[in-house]
Amino acid sequence: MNLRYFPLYMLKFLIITIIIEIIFAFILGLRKKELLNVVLVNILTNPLVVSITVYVNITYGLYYRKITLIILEVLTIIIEAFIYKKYIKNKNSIRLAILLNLASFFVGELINYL
Amino acid sequence: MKKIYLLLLSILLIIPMSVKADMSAPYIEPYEATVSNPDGAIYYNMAYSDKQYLYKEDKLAYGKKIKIDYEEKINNDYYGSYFDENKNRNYYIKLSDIIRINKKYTYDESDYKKAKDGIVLYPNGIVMKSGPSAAFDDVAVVPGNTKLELKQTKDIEYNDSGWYLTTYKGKTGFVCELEGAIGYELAEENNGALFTSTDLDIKNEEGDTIEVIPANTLIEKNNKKYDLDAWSRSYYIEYNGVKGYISYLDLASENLGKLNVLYDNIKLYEKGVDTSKVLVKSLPKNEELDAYYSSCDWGSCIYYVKYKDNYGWILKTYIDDETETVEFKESGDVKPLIKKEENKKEEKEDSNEEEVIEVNTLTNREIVIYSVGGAIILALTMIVIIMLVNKKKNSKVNNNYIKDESNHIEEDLKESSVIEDQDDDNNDNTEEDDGTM
Repeated sequence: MNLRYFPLYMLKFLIITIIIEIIFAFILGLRKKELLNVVLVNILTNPLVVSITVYVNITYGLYYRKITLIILEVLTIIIEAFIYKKYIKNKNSIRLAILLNLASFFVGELINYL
Repeated sequence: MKKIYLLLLSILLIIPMSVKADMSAPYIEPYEATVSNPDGAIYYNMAYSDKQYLYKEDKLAYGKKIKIDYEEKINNDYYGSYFDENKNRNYYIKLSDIIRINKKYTYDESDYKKAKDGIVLYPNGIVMKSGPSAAFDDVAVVPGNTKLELKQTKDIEYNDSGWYLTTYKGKTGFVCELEGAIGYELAEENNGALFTSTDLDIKNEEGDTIEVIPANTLIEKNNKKYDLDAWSRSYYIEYNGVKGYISYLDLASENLGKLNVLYDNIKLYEKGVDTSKVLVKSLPKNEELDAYYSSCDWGSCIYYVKYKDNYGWILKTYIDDETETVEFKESGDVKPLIKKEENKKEEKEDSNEEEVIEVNTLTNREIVIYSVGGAIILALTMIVIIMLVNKKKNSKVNNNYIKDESNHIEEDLKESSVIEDQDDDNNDNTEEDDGTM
């Protein structure tokens, strides 16, 4: 990855994450207005996770990047669960947040591996 | 259960999308390297004050193993960043001082397309590598003056790494155009005469000055000139038998026309914008001057003009960021340029090897830091948007709920009034029955 174009990479990752999470959210039964919340929440969390993780990577190395990623992913799930619980009529917002984030994480890792 | 099957099916369907991305977060693949410079490798610390500087920290011994986390280009030189566990911080080291361990760069030649033709400018040649980094193995040495066909990957429009795939005498590998290693013949429309605005150093590939072209010297069109990589801001020229590199920031290109002085106190300088050498303190307002050469950089222009018997430079400035102090008019009837006498060469002191390297361009680290800042601002904005969007939705839902409730109440009232009427009727009938009995 050429860091000169890092903002473009961030945008690409965000768009693909949103697409994947919308698909899974739809399958899980979320309605159109609830899907909007899924989109907005991802715009809130995804750029932060990506940019902070890369900053830690280039400043402290790959090992610290992995630790940072785990911490940020957990925080992301907590924040998303809070927002889903408040604004989406879903009985188990934590499960929803975990499922959606796992989906985008593993699909991304699989695609990257391929 | 059905939803789980749907989820698994969706995962399988998304795979053929062939989109490459890391949803978790992108990472730069690190690699193991060892110091290959027998004299050791200097490593630098990055410091931030009014500008960014690389400060020499110390030296790593020959053979020392390190792990490069990522590569960064700083002032046309490639550096690798590694983390020192003892000192608990990152340092920078020149890639030319290290060599990658157990590396093999794999690529498919069919993924590459021709980018341009170049010529090797270093008299001693350049090294062809097995991969697009100075840390890869040597494949061959390409001699000076060799013409090469340079290729880059098809999926990029602009190659800013400076590395290209090429073939020389049956061997295929990667060469780097940076630091003036490879030059490109200028297209006809760009290969015009040039005029120096100041005393201009001609430097060799090591950065040493080998000749000085005096200010206000014409470099004829037929003087061979080569363009270099996008970062260098220099040309490679052949001038009076001397070959070397010159900065094109101090060059003006031919641009005949009349220049109108719009304000008072516009000065005429002897050399470019060297304010210590003023030929005329104040040119008359509304004076029209014969202009011969111009050089512009980021909207700021200097013009080589004739005023009475004086030849010199004037600077176009702006008043209130909008109004120009001089106005260039394209028109004919400009008197021919008379060359000035050559100025005496000034002796240049030899400069010691610099331990401090000034970083002039936006570095990759800065880009990432600004991106983090942007992400924080975006996150705060999204919090507000989420609250506003859901507030609207909630008030809409509440309004609909209230409407439904009032409709239900009306219906209940109607029903109850109907029932009351029915009860009244029933009572009346009962009374009548009682009457008849």
